[in-house]
Amino acid sequence: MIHSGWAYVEAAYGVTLTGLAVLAIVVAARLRHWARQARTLEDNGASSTKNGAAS
Amino acid sequence: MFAAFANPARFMSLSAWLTPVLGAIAFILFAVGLPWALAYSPADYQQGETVRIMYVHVPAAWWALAIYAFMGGASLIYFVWRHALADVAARAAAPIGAVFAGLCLITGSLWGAPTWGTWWEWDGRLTSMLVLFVIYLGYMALRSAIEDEERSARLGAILCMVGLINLPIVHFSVVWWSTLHQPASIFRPGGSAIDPSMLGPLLTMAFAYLALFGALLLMNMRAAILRRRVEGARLRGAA
Repeated sequence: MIHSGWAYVEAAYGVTLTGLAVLAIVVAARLRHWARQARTLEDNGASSTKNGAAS
Repeated sequence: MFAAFANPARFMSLSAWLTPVLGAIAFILFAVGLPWALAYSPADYQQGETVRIMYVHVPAAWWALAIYAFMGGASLIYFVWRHALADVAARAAAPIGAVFAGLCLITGSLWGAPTWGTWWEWDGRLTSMLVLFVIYLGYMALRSAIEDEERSARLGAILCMVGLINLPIVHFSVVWWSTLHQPASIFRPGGSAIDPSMLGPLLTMAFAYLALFGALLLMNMRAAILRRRVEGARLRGAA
């Protein structure tokens, strides 16, 4: 039987949880970035339509 | 369901509520699976505590393979029917599959060091898994390198479909060659060889990975659709 295996277990779980957390943060940040860009574009489009209608 | 997802507008409204649901399921399954794997499941009579690495290593391996199969299917749909959302799905799945494949290799190495006495061995299973990881990276590099969206999608689909040939090699490598890696212990003729006390946390962690993949895939697809909308509007504005 293998003794003192906890160091390897801790390293494996540390790497896995860090990797998955970093992936989730990057994906969420990317979605947030493009959602904000799309909203800005929609707001600009709406205001330019209003301005166009006013003039 | 598939028809509803095939329309980008309907996909956006469906994925808006499905993404947090999958995220919550993943969170709950990890909250149950991690303590079960680390504290409440027994140590192995030969591997000792290192058997706990299996609960993060095996799901990463399963889903790295399944995600690539999913990408291959989506690539085929794009290649035959030119469905843009299928290409978005394939491209969105690639970084998640790459991370899962990378985690599989690292955790496998961390298990191999105390169990086999080596961090790496060029045997059939390990090498074919490394090839899968490299194919993921190659696919992502190709997609980023080509600016023309349609050309990038077409060449990416071809590369992805060619790469599918590696999946049976990974799966059957332990049968075809005499490898250091042990043969399949769950998906094998005659049923699972794993004790239920270990199968429980393993399947919980596997479903946690799957739910996380689902949530991240939908988020990545939503980001890609929004990016196309923004870039399309900017191009129309500049013209």
